Amino acid sequence: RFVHAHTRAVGEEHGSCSVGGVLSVVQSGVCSSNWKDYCRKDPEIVEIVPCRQRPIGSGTGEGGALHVEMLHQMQDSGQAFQEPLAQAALAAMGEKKQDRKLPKGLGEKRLRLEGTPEETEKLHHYLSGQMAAQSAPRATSRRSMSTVRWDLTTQLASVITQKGSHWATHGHTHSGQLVLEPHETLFLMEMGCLEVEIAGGHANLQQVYGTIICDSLTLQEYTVIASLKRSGFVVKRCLVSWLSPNTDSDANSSAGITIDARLELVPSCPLCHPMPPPSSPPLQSLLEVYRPGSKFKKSSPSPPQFRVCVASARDPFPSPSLLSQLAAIQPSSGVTLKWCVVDGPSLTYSTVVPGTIPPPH
Amino acid sequence: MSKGKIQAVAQGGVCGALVWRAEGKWSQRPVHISAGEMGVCSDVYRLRVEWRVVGGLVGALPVQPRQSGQLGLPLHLSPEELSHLLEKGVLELEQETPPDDVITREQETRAAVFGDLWENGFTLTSGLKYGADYLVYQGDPALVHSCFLALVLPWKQPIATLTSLCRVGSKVVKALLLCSVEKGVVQYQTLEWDPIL
Repeated sequence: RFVHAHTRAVGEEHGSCSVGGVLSVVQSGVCSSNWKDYCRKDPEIVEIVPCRQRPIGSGTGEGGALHVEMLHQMQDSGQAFQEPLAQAALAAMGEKKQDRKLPKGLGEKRLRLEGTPEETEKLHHYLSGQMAAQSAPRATSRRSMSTVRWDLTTQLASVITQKGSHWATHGHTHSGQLVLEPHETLFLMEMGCLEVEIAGGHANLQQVYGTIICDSLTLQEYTVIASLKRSGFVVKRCLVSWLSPNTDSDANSSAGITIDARLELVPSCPLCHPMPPPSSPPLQSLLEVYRPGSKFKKSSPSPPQFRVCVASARDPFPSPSLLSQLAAIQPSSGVTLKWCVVDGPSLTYSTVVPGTIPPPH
Repeated sequence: MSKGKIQAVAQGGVCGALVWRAEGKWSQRPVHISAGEMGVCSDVYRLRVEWRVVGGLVGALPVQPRQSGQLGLPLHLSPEELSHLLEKGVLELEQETPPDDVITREQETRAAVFGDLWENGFTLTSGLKYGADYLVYQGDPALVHSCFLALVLPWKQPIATLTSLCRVGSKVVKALLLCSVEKGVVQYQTLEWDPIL
């Protein structure tokens, strides 16, 4: 069982606190390079969680001193588990991004439940840590926050102020106005880089989700886009349209690739291309994905590393014909097609390799 | 808003519903929760611990948004989880855009199977990663491995991928649970692959 100890300001004597046998603090002379060695010498300290750079509530602390919060093993039980909340809260408050830690997992899973109270407690401990991490505030400094205004008619966000380096790979221009597409707006807001104004008021994340996730950008598609972007990929959303307007559904279901059933990609931004007449087959969306850090030029984008087609686990399966048509979208040389199936939070990807029999491994 | 009911949002573009709140109270105190600051707990974990509905987190985690190992709010509830919780009176929908879904026969069967397995004390999550409909657990998914792969099938239709599914099940130490609804009753059959006879 753990309780975290509060440390006193630098300059105070090293002493022990009387609350439940918790050990205390750091004395002067301990700096960031040697505090670990200092703590290791104490046999009762089991874990060290680095926290702030400045001591809490200290009027006399010297600049640059390290304030260390230590986890100390309780000698008698009966005290509640505070560690996951403490660690998660500390992690959220950590000034340096590299100090922010994820809540701990439970370790190896068993085949059957033990049914012991210890097991239930272990589960509650884990869930409490998870919950603390979910409840942590999304804090970003004003200096790195951009602002946009969402337009309910065009379904695009007009950029008012731009801060940060992600603008090289997000947004595009219309008549001199920089705009963000719905998935870009929602993603940057989730990352804490954006403030979104809807109908004159500042919107919170739940309101932005409610506005942006709709029938034209489903949650399934957005979870795939966000998952790729969180890993650092640059994602461009496109719509698939038929090159030949006279193509009917019989040509689509034929066994081989026919010349008039070629597909092409158009930008998904509604201002960039006219919407097709309602009688034509519905447009499917496709994601073009670029390697993280690749030289992505908005004006003349190079071919993507791969393309992703998103499908729901509850929809009918694609036909081999559709897969081969999607894989043949130009430019297709060096660009693989991935089929992604989504069921709530679960994603599975498969790479589609069209053409002749591949060489055996 | 009814006292004690969890709020969920059903909206266009979401197959199922989303739960957003991270503040709420336990309606009954579970076995041993730490006292003091941990008296107020999340709706999301109330669903998991009290009602055995796990759902799936789909948002970015505030502490570390640029990773996908651990995700954050909102919690996504599948259509079966949503209808089950609505029936039990645990959840109420905050009407954003009332979805006018036509309930298909397949959705009805899935909901019936979900409900029946739940009444038998199991916890269910998506079986997508194994090619099945549900993963069936005898406890919380964080503590134990699943014991069955559940497939929801029409009672009278031939099973197309039987052999491959049996093999997947045996490889991951899980039996295959075939679930169908016949005359309003859920029928179960278990298949375990015999490597050598």
